Amino acid sequence: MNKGLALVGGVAAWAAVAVVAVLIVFNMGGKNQVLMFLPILAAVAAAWAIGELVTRHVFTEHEKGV
Amino acid sequence: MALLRKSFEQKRELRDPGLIRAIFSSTWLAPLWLVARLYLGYQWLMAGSHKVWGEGRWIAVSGPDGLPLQGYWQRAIAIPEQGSAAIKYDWYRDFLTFMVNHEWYRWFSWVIALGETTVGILLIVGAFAGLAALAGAFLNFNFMLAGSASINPVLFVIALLILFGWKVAGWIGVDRWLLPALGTPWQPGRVFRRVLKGRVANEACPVCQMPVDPARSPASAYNGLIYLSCCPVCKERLDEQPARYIAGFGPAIPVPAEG
Repeated sequence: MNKGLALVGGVAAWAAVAVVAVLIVFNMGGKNQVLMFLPILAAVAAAWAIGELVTRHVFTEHEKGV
Repeated sequence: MALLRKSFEQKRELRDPGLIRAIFSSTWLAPLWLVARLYLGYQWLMAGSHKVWGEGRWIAVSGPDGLPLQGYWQRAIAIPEQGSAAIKYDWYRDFLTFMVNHEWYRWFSWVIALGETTVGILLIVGAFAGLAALAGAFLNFNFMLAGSASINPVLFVIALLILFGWKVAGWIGVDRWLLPALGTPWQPGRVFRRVLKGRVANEACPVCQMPVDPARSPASAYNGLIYLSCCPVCKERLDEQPARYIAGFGPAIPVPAEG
């Protein structure tokens, strides 16, 4: 897994968060704020976890080799 | 007089107490900032969505855009015969009146609708969280000046708090990677270091002469050149008195021509 692929994966994960948030808010606007809030929170947490994992496993190992 | 001059000439930096630094600069409270950011972002996205989507939208409608905004401005600038006007500052009423008379609502509605949506998305994904909060606070400020209270005061306070905690507000977000990559105007990040690679001016710390690491050492930018310090303490000293350390620091490398 190279750095470029990891970077694309990270950007895609956060773009997905934006898409999820927009879709949820635009389609369910005002129906149930808690039910709308939770999936957005989950999407952010998932994207952040992916980013951390990728950073630790791809970028840190490369840096160690320098 | 001399006493006054002396006390102001002496440069003293008053450090924040540990609790303040823990709240606004430490990542251990990042989950709290995430909740604040998501709530604020969610509110802005909700507000923006009603303006760009659905039947009551402000923009991309058949006919002139921004008619709801025109109505809002007209209600705000109206001075009732009884009671008090919504706007308390005459200069702000004049400003809105000017925009109404020049039909600025046609394009300003796009700015507000897309601005609110963008602020909401940026806060939710945590990208440039501080700047997004600043933009949101500016919108709240204007709504309040126009006489709309609603939830604006609460959103304004949350935005200010996020603004103060800009370094860590987006830690559980894109800023976790974006800020170190881009850096700040006073400390260029990895991307700008790469761009300015040929402009690193020193191989040893300008303050203590210890060797520097181009990949990791704290960087400062002066006169189009990058100056690396061996540690954050030396960087702080360099930034406090750049002329003292840079003036006698070897020959300056000329800035290469662009392209």
